[in-house]
Amino acid sequence: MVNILTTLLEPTSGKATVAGCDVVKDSIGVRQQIGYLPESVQLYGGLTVNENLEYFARLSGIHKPQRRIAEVLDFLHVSYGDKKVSALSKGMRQRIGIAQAIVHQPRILFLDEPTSGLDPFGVKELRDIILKLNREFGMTIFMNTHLLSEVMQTCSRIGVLSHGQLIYTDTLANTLKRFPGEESLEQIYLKIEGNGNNGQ
Amino acid sequence: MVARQEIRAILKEKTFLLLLVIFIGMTLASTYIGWSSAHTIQSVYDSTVSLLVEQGKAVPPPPFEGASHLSLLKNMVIYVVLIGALLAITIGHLMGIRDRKAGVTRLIFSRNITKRQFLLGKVMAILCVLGSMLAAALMVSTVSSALLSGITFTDVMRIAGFYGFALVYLAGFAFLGLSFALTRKTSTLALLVPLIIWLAITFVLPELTSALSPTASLNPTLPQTDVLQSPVLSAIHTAVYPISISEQFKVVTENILLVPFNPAITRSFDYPFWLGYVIVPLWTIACLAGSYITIGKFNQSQGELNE
Repeated sequence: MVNILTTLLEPTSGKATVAGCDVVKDSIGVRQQIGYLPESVQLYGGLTVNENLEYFARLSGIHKPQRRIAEVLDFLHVSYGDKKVSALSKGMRQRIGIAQAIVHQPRILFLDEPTSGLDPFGVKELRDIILKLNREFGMTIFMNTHLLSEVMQTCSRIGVLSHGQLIYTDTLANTLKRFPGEESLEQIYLKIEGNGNNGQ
Repeated sequence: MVARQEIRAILKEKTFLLLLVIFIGMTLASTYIGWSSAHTIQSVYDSTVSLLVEQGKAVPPPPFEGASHLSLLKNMVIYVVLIGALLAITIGHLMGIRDRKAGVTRLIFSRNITKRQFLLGKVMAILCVLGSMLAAALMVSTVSSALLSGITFTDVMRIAGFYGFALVYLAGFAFLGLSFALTRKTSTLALLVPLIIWLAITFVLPELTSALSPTASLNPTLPQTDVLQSPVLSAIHTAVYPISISEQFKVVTENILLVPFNPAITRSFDYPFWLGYVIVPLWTIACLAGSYITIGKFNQSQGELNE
């Protein structure tokens, strides 16, 4: 699904729009408005953090990206801009992954399993960054995750995918109200998933 | 932007730098080797002439009568076909495989860049790197030829023509390396396939064309008459010669550098000498078209290597 919404994969059927742009007919229009962080953050290991960010910023049409890169690194509290990416830890690389995704100030940020492989400290750091991006910059964050505790602490609106079908979507607050007897989001999920699979 | 990034990256690649040093070194060596061989042959000729004059015998014509100064660069033709083509494949391969190896293809194609623009960037980078490399070789050849034998402005133009045509020839190999680097699932296979094609073009096809003239290949002197061949060998010549790209390149560039033809090789074919001026650019265009088709089929969401 993320691959389709980020225009990396064309849908075999159906239609999808992101920020009003059709993912097939106006893929460049979509790309101009999104940032993307894949599950496993891969960057050019032989290049420094700054060189990586400069490349991706230029690919997004920023001609003189140095100032913007400095702003982003400052926002993310990154002080290792001159270090080669290959020398960074998973958590540090994840930050640079986010930096490349937001360097061109997208309206929507797609995060594909962003907490995968991070230690609890890294997970908390990432959660804080996500919330800050949404609250301070009004950025819409589209995140897919299997960690329902993260959903509970980060998301305002949720959707449940089951076997490629979107079987449920609503705000988190409404969802919690709709299932008052359930103790956790996990139990709510299991109930939704069970109903979905039963065709209800 | 893609082109600039590729050029910066390739200049950090050790394999590329090593092959580049070898190529430029061989460029320098080729002039010296050509001059040294000519000097030795001329010395032997001079001694022989003195002896023959003393004995009152007839003197044969000088060995390099009518030969251009540029025939000293004859070895460069072979170096371009061998090391130059290998270097070009390496350049194309490295430029095609780098993003896939780094696992950043999904990040790249989530930006404002189409697959065609991506390919255009790679092609521009390839032409820029190959062009710079051949420009350096041109300077080395010009200076070394001027120092060793003296050259005119027309000679310089001919050397430039030679390297210009070499750029066309080598670009084909670079695009070949690029095409396979964009499609194969492993980097080993992505390099191996173009190398096999290079081996076929450089070693197998010539075996079926000029090397089928054993007399001409073994005898360094120019025969006064056509060498008779069997109908089967002649038929193979005729069929394979147009697609023997390295042979076409040799014929054209030796023509540009005014290196005397070996009639036993060239005259036996039913094709004009200028055929190479058409075949070699066609080869490059075909390889570029291959890259274009390849990038069209490139899966942006699963572009990373399986290794």
